Parts: sequence; structure tokens; C-alpha cells
Amino acid sequence: MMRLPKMDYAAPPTLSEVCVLMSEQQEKAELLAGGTDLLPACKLRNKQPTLLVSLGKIPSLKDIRFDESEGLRIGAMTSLNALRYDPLAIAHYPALIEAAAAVGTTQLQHMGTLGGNICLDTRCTYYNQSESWRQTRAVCLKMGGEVCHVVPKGNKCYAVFSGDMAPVLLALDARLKLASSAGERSLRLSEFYSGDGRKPLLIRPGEILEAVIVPPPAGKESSAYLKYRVRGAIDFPLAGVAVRLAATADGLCRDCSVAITAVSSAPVQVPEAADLLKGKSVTAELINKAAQETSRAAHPVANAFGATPSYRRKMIGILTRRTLTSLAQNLGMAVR
Amino acid sequence: MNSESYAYIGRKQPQIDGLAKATGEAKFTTDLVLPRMLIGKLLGSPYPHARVRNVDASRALALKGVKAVVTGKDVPGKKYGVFVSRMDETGLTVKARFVGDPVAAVAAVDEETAMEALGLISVDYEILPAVFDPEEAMKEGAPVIHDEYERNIVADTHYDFGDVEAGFRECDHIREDNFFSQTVSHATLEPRGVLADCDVAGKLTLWTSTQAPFQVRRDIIRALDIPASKLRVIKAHVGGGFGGKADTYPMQVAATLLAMKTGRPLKIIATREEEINVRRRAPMSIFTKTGVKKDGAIMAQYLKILADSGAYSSTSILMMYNSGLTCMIPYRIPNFKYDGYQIYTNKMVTGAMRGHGANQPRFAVESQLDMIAEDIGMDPADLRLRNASQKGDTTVSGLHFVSCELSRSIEESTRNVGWKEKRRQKGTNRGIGIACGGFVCGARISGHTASGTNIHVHEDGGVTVITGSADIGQGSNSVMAQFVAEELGIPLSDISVIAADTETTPIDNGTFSSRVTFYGGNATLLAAREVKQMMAGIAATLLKSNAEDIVFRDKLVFVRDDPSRSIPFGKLAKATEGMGHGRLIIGQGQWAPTNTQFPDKKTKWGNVSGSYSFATQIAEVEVDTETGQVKVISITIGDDCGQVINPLSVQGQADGSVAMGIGHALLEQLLFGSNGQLMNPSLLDFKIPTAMECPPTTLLEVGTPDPIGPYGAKEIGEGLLITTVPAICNAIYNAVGVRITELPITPEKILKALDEKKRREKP
Repeated sequence: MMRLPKMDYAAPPTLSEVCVLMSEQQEKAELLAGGTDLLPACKLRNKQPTLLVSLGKIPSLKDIRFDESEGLRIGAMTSLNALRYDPLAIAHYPALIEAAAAVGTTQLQHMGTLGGNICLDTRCTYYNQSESWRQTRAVCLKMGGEVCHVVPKGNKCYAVFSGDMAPVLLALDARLKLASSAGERSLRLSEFYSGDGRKPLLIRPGEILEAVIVPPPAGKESSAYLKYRVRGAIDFPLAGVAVRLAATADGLCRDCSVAITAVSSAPVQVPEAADLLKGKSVTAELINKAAQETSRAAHPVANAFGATPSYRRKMIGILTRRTLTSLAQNLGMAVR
Repeated sequence: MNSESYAYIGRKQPQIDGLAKATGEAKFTTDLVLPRMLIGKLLGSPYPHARVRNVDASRALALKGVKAVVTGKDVPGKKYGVFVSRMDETGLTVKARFVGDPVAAVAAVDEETAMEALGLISVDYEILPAVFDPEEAMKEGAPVIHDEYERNIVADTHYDFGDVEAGFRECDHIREDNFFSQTVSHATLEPRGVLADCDVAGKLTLWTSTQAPFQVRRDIIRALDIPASKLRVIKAHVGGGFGGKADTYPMQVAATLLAMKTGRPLKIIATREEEINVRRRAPMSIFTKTGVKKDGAIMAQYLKILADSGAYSSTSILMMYNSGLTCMIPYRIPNFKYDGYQIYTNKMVTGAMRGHGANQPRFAVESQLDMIAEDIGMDPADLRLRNASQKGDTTVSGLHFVSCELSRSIEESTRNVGWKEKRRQKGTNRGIGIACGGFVCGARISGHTASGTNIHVHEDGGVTVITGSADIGQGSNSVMAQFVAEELGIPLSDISVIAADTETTPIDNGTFSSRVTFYGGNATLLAAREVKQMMAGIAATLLKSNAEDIVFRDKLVFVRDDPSRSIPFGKLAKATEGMGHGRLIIGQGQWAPTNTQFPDKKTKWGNVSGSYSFATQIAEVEVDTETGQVKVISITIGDDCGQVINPLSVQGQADGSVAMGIGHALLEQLLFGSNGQLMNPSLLDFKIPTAMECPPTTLLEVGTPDPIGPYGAKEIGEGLLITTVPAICNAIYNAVGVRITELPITPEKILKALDEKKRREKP
């Protein structure tokens, strides 16, 4: 068995105490939510915190509530399993359910949290390896070194963001609520990711993700998430597409949002694809064009097991077409 | 099937250790703890090929809690290995031959300290040029991995039976094709482990996760130059082996050495990364040439196989022998030629794995047979029926089949799935494919191959079965108990089994080559019958009857024609012990088949197995032509494993081999970096199938009792797996018309082949 390094552990009962602790400890501490991403990283010595600060003792972080004006507010510590079976989420945001159900396995969904999945560290075939394994090569950018083993001449870290929840929340235009000792701030999820594989989150030192707020659905709309992975369970996505589609009364596309995951260092929205559909009658041809645009926005590199970059890119296109087609059909929009 | 008359044979029986395993009570090596126990860790080489100039362990030894460090220089004895002619391992090496090859080991008070100590050991390496590709490694001037082996050829095996050239001249149709079978991992649930203890008198005891404790003893006494009587090896509960735990591995040598040096018990448990990096299935490039007459009769076949051995030999010569041998089992092939080569490379070691050398050529040949069937306009099931081996056949290579129901297995499995109708369905992207195979029930290719069992009956009628056969999760303890239960008419709950302990049980080669039920079962039967004969004599006296007329059933011993004259089994046991001057109720059985021969040294002619299993497998798949993904819808198996002993175990073998076959066909591949390092040593990145990938399996029992197997049983553990992969390949071709000849069949390969097909078909 891989062993965890020796670490101290704290589980403060209030968010403000967590904030204080995190601002004191800075980089020496890591926030522990479900631990399904952090603890393996500690075992592999990708991360070597001296203190783990658990969020598990703060019940309010597990709240889910729906409000007609604000929408759905989901506490960051809500387990993916709780979200998956939450009647409010099921009623309004089918894509959230599909994405939560597609994460890892049932066991991981019970342990893993929404906040943890949003804050998932980026991954790479040369990074997610044991310390002794990594010692056969020069230290890579993601581990603080100066080389990339995937793109040898690159000076950028290409580690891939592989969360399933983020693309859905991007498509739903979710906002995050962040807490720190300096106070609260709120930002759009699209402003949360840096695109830098080394440090993928634009979170400030000492800041804690408290809740996710998903705007209320307006009128006739629906959402969907499709994920490509090698196996029907366990695997991270090699490509993932989330779409929100809204219809006018006469069956035209009122609004659309497309976001993709697992094909670059951040989940990204693809407005070029969504804009093609807005205000239009959704035809098969238009869907194909949108799928092509989405595929063009994907920039995977060879840093994940199970598929080549070109295949992953191709899958982005296919999943986009499938997602749009089924949503349009569900909303009674004519697809010809 | 005449199992109606049996009380236990052919009836579903839960494993006798099932409850202990389900509740967590069963002790695997990792669960074992001794007072003052130390923890050991191995230090692997970061280079694929490097000589160890010096190891400086002073900093590690200075760390509090570190008790000893040993290196390759501390291994005093001779090289060991599976075959006397290919002994090339030392456990800890002075010349690393792959990334991870253990060069040192540390003993410390706990795992954290041991891990920290590893980082404090400085090894001075002289880096040597490395070679990773078997074809490159065979070239003149390639780096030499073991000095004794020119051009790195560790095994080359050649058959030439009949007259292949003449055979091909008689053919109406000949095909030549190339195939490649990738390298995959055993992925056993339980990682390797060992606990070593050295007492004050210098006697060593090893508890370890192994398929072959006697092999481990043989190797370790060689490596460490100690007398056999000073080392006891006990198999703990084992969580799967699949061939990977059939040979001795470095941690067993290191743990023994460290226990000797420290005088304290010491345990080493592999991490998953270390576990995957020990053994794997050999990748093989396979050239296949097969010729047939117009009616489908195979006239001649030639195979040339190049296999990667990795850094050490392991089972190389047996594997290459098997690759040729097993081609002779399912079909009548009057002329057969085979050239097999296995080549050392600077990568982790390949060795035995379920099917052992048979899987790769079976995939090639069964794929090619479907191609031939299409070429000559014949149904692939009919082609197989036309050539199927029959009971009584002796192959050109000397294999003799005392039982064989292959034709029946083809007929019943095709009937069960509705073969003809499903083959005709068009435009659905669904397809169905067939493959056949067969396997040995223990190949007799080394000196000692007998198995033995002793049986003790206690005074209350309880029975202890002491057998050399190693239960590694396949359930041999339960099978042995079932044989005894049937013979003595007592329930399984009255039987305990002690197995696979070099000090207390009879010697046994180990669990591999699908030999355990066949060999160990027959030995157990002989022992049970000896006990039964003794007790029947006493019963005859007590019941005033003849020993031949005494029946053992339902815990009673009675006269056949007058069951009212009876005595409970427990009372009889007490009476047997006490009558006259008293006696011990002990039975002994040892068994090896007598209808086998060693393969001839030069020609390899000879009947190596007492009997052979046969199987047909039919896969139904659906292909997504847009993504290239394959879904296996169902697997149907017609299996001739002779008399089924326990339907639950047999279904377990079927389900397990289908999962493993799907992995080999579609998902799994060990990948190596440019430095020869294993890239995906985890169960996240090495993609074994999950329950989501495994379809329902229908197992049709088509066998008849074998005249040699115990109660007519033959093997099922390996012969099933070898047909899953080609059945899936053939089903994919039937579904979407593309033939993938390089495993695994990834979605990308399907898409590429579909594109090429589209281009070809454009006018």
C-alpha cells in the first residue's frame, strides 16, 4: 500500500476558523474535502502539505437550496452522490445529475464533493506517478521543475483539467462564492480557471470555495452532459461536453451554451459554437457546424492514457453533436 | 452426465473458505503480524540497464529505526529460475536489467522509516546501453543483457511435423497474415507479499502469496545457499495469481535475507506499482500461414512467433513450447511447422499468465480461420466443425485425446445463440463471432510433476485433508474437499483442508498449467479411497457384511441392500481407531498420469498431458461506427471440461475469463516510456474491465466424464480464456467488416479501419 506522509490534521467547526488557519499556514496547508483527489496526490508525493484542514465539520457547507430568483445554491461540501439524487437538481438541471453520475465510481461519488471536483488538480501521465517513478526523469514543470515530458520543447505545463462538473456549471453560467479572512467574493466560474496546468485555479491564498450558485432556468430549457472515457466507470473523461439549450415558444433556439472539459488545462466555454445556434431553427446542418466549432476549440496533448489527442478532439465534435441533437429533440425543436 | 447419483460432485457448493473471505477473517500475507516484526522495502534501479558499481547505505543505516540494508552482493548462492536450463535471477542484482530491477533492500521498524531509508541509499551506477524492442535486441551488436545468451535469444523452439511443404502444395487456398498480441498485466486483486521469520536455531519460515511454495523453496535455497530443510514456505490465502505468482520473485529472496541478517521477522508487501512491475504477459508478433482444401480441410499450418521476454527468462522455454503445442489441440492439422523465439529486452519480465503462450497464437489462428472461411465462402462454424479434433485422435505431434467433445461444443453453442440467423443480420452494427481452443490438464515437461494428498480421519468423524495443491482463489481446497465428501459420504463442513506448506504437506509443483484438479484431485481420490477401504473393512465386520457392499452416504455407513444395517460415520471412525490394537485412519495418495511422455528433446513429439479440455466461445458485439467503441453484448461458451465438479466454480472461471478476455481484446495494454519504464503501473491507468464492460456469460456444459480425470473432470481455468479474444475479433468483423490484427482493438483502430474500408469500397 502507498503510505501518506506524516501530516497534521485540523477540522475547525466554523468557516471563519478555517479561513484563519488557511491564511496563517498559506502553502503548507491543503484543504481537505472528500480527499479523493488530494489524498492520492499526497501518497504519490505530488503534494506534501504539513497540515490538512478538513471542511467536514461545517454542516452549512452541505446545504442545497433553491430559490426562484437566485437559483440553486449548492454548498461546496455537498457530495456528488447527494447532488446526484437531489430532487431540486434533478428537477431543474439534468446535466448536473448526468455529470455527477459520471464521476469515477459510486464510492468516489459518495466521498467526492462538488467543490472538490471543481477544484480538481490538473493531471498528466508524467505527473500522477509515485515519487520513485518520477525520479527516473528530470523534474517536470508541474512538479516545480523546468521541463515538460509531454511537449519537450514547450515552456508551458499542459497538464489536463479532468473534472466533470465544471463544464456543466460553465454551460449553466454558475457563480462561485469564495470566503476568506478578508471577506467574501463572488465570481463567475469562467473566471476561476487560469489555463495554466501548473496552477489551474485563480484562487487567492487563504481563499475557500464555499458554494456554487446556478442561475434559475428560464422558460423552456434543458441541459445535458456527455463524457468519453475508456470504461463505463472509474475513468476520468478523455473528452466531455456540456450543453444548455433554451427554446422559444415557436421552437427556435433562444439561448445556447457549450462547454468542454478534459482537452486542455481548463474547462472552457465555446461561444463560437453556441452563437451559431442562437435565434436559429436548429437543423442537423447547424448542429454539425457547431460540433465542428467545438472540436476546433479543443487542444488536447498526449498526456492521458486511453486515447490520442486527435481522437479526443474528434470525440468532442461527436459528443457535441449528440448532446445538441438529443436536447433539441427533448425540447421539441425540429431537427432536420 | 451421471451426476444425479452423486451427493456432492456436480452440485453447486459454496467455497469452504467463502465465509472467511467474505467476512475478512481469511488471512492474506498482508494480514499476518509477528512480534518484533520489521517492514522491508526494495530499491529499484532507475535505469533500464546499468551495472551497480557501489552501494553506499551508510546514511540509511544511520537513520533511526533502520535495521539492515542488503544488496546484490549479499546474495551468496547461485542463480535461480523456473527452468534449470534458464536460471538467470538473483533476487537482488548487481546488474540492473530493467527500470525497477531491485538492487537493494532495507529493513526498518515501520514502512515510513523504510521508505525514508530508500531515499538515503546512494547507488553508483555504470549506465549501459539498453535495448527495448525484441527485433532490435536480436540483431548482431545489440547490447547483451545476459552474457550467456547471444543476440539475447533466451528461447527458440521449433516443431516440424508431417511435411509442411507437401501439405501446402495440396492446398486449394493459402493465407499468410501477421498479427500482434500486446502485453498485459495479471492485475491480481492481492499484490505480492511475503513475511519471513528466522528462529534462534536458524530455521526460516516464509508465509507468502504464491502459486508454488515448493518452487519458492527450491529457488531461495539456491539463491541464499541454505539447506532445503532449513526453509519452510507456507502459502497464505492468495488473492489471485493467474500465473504471475508461479515463480519466485525478488522480495521473497530479499525478505529471507533480511530476516536472516536481523534475526527478526520481516514483512514486505508490494505497492500496486511494484506489483504490476513484476510479471506480465509476453507480447508476441505472430506470422501465420494456413492452407486448406476447397472443403475447408486444413492441410498445413506454419507459425513463426517472436516474443518479448523482458529482462529475465521466467518461463520462457515453456511459454514458447506452449505457443506451438496448443496449436495442435483444437483441429486436425496433418502438417505443422513452428518457429518460436523469445528475446531478452531491458523491460520488465514476461512470464506465465492464464493460457500461458496459447492465447497469442490462438488469437492469430482463429482470426485467420475466419478470413479463410470468407475467402472460400464457408461458414466459420462449419469450417471449425470440418476440422475439429475428435476423441481418440493422436495429433502429428503425439498429443492423444482420450476424451473430446469439441464438435458437440460447436454445435450446441451455435444452436444456443441462433448462429445462422444472427450471422445473416445486416446493417445493425451488431455481429457474432466464434473461436475454438483447447488446453492441457497439466503439461508434463519437467522432472517431478506428481501431486500428493494425505487424509486423516479423526475420532469424531471429522476429516483433515493435507494436500500439496495450492489454492490461490480458484477454489482447489473446496474441490479437494468435494472429492473427499463424495467418497466418504460426509458434508463439506466436516472437512478441513491444509494445503501448500513445504513442511507439512506432500510436495507439489504448484498451481499452473491447469493441473490442480486433474493431478491433485486424483491424488486426493486415491487417499480418500485408502481411508474408505480401511473403514469399510471395519464396517463390514460390525454390520456383518462384505466390504464391497458397504456404502458411505449422508454421514452414515450402511449395507447396500439393507440400509437399516448402518453405523454413523463418526462412530465408525471411533470404532476403527479403537478395535484390536487400534490403528490410525490415514490415507495417502500420489498421482501423475501414466499415459504421458516427455516431449522428445529434438522433435518435441510426445503426449504431454493426460487429457485435454476443449471449448467453443461465441461473442456477440455491437460497434458504434462513429466512435469506434465496441460493446460486448454476450458471451456463450460450450465447454468440455469433462465432468463438472462444482458448477459455481466453473461459472466463476467462465465469468473471470470473459472479463480477462475482454480486457485483452479491447482495453488493456502496458505501455513503456522511451527509457523502458512502465508508464501505467496503476489500476486507474491500466484499464482492466469493470462490471460495466462485462456481459452476461452463458456456460453450456458439453463434456462427458473423462476416463483419466478425477470423477471425469478436466481443466477449465485456462482453456476458456484463450478463445475469448478471437471470438470478439471475429464478431467485430462480422458486425462492421473490419479485421483488426493488432491488439488491443481500440476505438481508434476501428475508426481507421472503417475509413480504409470506405476508401477501398469507393468505385
